[in-house]
Amino acid sequence: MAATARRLSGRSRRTSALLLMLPALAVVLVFFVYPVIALSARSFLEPEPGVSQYVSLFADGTTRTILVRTLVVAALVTAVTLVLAYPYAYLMSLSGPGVRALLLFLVLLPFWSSLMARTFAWIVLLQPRGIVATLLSSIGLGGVPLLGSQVGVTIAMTQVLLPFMVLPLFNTMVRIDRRLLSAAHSMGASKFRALVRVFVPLSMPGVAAGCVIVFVLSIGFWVTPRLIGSPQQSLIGQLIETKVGTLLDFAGAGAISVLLLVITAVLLLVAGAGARLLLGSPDSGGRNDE
Amino acid sequence: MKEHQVRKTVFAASAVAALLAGCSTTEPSDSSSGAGRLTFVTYGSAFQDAQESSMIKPFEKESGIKVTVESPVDPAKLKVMVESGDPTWDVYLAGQQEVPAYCGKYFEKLDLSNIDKNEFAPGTVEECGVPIDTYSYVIAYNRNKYGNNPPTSIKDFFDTTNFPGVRAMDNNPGEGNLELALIADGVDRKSLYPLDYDRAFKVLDRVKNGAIFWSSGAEQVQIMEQQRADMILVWSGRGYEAVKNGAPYAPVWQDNAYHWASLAIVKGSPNKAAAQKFIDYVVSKEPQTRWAESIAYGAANLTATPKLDEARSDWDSSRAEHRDLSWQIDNAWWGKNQDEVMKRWIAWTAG
Repeated sequence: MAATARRLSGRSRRTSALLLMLPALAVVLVFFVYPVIALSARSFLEPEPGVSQYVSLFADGTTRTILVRTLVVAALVTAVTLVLAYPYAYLMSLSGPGVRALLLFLVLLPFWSSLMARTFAWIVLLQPRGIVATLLSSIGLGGVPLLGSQVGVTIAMTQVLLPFMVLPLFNTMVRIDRRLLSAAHSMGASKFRALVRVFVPLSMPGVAAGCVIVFVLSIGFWVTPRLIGSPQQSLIGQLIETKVGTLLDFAGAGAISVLLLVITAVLLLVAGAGARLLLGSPDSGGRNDE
Repeated sequence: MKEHQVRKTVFAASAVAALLAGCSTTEPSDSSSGAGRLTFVTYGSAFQDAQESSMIKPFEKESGIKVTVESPVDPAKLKVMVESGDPTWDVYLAGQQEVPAYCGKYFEKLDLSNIDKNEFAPGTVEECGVPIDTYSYVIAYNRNKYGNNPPTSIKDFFDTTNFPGVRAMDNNPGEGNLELALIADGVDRKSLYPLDYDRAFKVLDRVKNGAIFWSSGAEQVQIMEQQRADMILVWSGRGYEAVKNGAPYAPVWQDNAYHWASLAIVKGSPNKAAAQKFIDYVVSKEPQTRWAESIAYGAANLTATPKLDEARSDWDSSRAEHRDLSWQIDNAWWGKNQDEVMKRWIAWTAG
């Protein structure tokens, strides 16, 4: 009796949860799924049914150049973000509640201001004779053009995307049982060795999650490269925007969008498989060292 | 004028937004309210404020027609609106190349019986558009850099030997980058079309290294105030704005590209009669005079008599001396070839 009642209440809870999700689901369906399908469909239907949009996409050298550049920039930004975020997240996982809250606050701060505002702030910071330029020249790195260059775009994108790397990393690191490190010490591993052989492998799921999120967000970036970069470093988002906004070529833009979607999906699948492999045997990370 | 880029910057993901506009036209259409109202879509900011005070408010008072103003214009949204058959915009502020390109497709043919073509610059009044304002795409040079030996024509803009320094121009070739390169190379203004792409890009190559490509009006002002470019092709109104803010630049009117924006009626508009009345009014002498006095854009109606101070007059695209040195883009050619030009431009800048 009691068990049935519990199961019933469980089911009704699930029903009410579904009902609660309905508005969000409807929004996603109408404002995301439908446009994506409509845009994709157009890319196969115009100017005539078939794959002509895709053929011309791959035949066009400019699109290929920009696509490759986008992937390279995304990889670069992911790498820089990881290098910056890893020690930061590590520090967060080590510190007490007060310091941790402060560090978390600092990471989340950018989330509370608009992307546009931050990008315009970067324009001010990166301008010639601006703060960053002065700082760089004081350490002997003067003369690096920041506005309208890949360096500037990478700096700004890294700042914007940093939280997306720090949070998954922290989330993983804080769950790592630190007694494992003590165990490694007790068996004679140096602090560094214990970190590399025990901690780093255990943090890999966080690394994978952070890298995927940052990479996927990077390939779709548009505002930052548009405002801070120059057309000579334009990314695929800008090409899509030109096709839609200026040329009204919805089908061509749809084809590029589908391509990006495919790249993202493949990446997520690969990362998912990789993470499952790592999670399946969490102690196998350092096995190839010797 | 053509603040396309600003709009684009603010309205990211326009593909999705545009498609949404197509599937969510549940707003009540204006058809029931007849000739008593219309919706005018224009660019925002100071530009819109000036239009409201100099043209729209007086029109409402005079005609009794209620005008709803929206911004910004967005050709992608226009396309979706017309395709869905239920436009919520009636009058559209169109870039000059959009008029012939969209005529009959996204724009209605106009009734020009109340428009005297002689009051406007030749070629600016078209089947689907009447000009409402003008500006020029003009060279501005840094006086601190070239004070003793200032550039005098577009030839000097592309001459980095005698005029070394950083160049800046629009990231959209629609203002005339390719045409200006050809003029600098000695091509006669009358035989610019069809554009000789290879020749134009060869000239543009001379200044490409280190060049800045701006995408918005605000960016032009910022580049001039920070003196990031020694010579910059700018919209005359923005050049004036930067100079007024203290940027040490001066215009070179030789070879300036005379531009305008037009009013068009959105295809399928339920308020065509009111829209036509609105257009007839705002391009007439008085509103045009008030317009030119309230903002650094020129009056499209050449019978307008705005009183301008000297600094403003220096940057006025409608001034007779400046118009004498100007040339105009072939809109009809552009309407047909825009895809090809853009493709080649993107390949040159980004490829």
